[in-house]
Amino acid sequence: MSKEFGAHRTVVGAHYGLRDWLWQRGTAVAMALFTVLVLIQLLRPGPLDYARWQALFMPLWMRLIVCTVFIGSLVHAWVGARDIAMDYLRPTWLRLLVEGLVICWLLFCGAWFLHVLWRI
Amino acid sequence: MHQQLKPVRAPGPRNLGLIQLASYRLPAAGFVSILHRLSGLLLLAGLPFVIWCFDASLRSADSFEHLRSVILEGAHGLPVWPLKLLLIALTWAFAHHSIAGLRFLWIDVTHQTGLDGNRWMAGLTVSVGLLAAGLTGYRLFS
Repeated sequence: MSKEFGAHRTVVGAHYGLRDWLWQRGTAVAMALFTVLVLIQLLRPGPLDYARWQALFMPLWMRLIVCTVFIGSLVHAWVGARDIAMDYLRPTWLRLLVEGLVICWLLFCGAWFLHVLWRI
Repeated sequence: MHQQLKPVRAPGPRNLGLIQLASYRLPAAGFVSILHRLSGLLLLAGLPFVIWCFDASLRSADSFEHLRSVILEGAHGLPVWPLKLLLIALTWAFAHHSIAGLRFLWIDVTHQTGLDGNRWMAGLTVSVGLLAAGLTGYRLFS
């Protein structure tokens, strides 16, 4: 009988990693749609000056979208970086060290970006 | 007398050494996949630079123009080509990562595993990435 918890739990089988996979794909779709949205705005005729650039990011709805997509990109980056670390970094201490550094890096970037986005 | 059986090596994936890796010919899809990882790492590493640019471009009209001149002409007498190369590299990484990612989504949805279509899509992915990098380079250096 399989156990779902404790020292003798089943650690292989279906659905392990499904949650990460789904997060990665969900955030990917969000970023792809956002990229199309921004490209449509930028490829409109006329020079890209400050007024136009700023008008693009001024509305509250746009900032909320940017904020959502950016947080999504951090989650996406975490799943991807963790996958790479699990594949290539063999000694556990090294893998945990790198994963810890990536977490700090992502949180730092997130905090900085939130500050920049909502100050403007 | 019983027959001596040779140990049978289990078929399946095996690890390659670093020296073997140099001469190992990766299939087109594998090439795109490894570049997908590389471009992802590059985007992760370049995140602070992107945030810095985003900040400078939106802070004020002066700051916007200053950023433009820094990217096109450099600042503090420092050579500007490393900055331009960084921008080209990040553009390549973004384009390649996006298209390769869409390709993976497409494969997820259609369960496509055949070689023919994959080789074609892999070529397209690499081309779009290089095209984006080329356009950026042309814009920055011309």
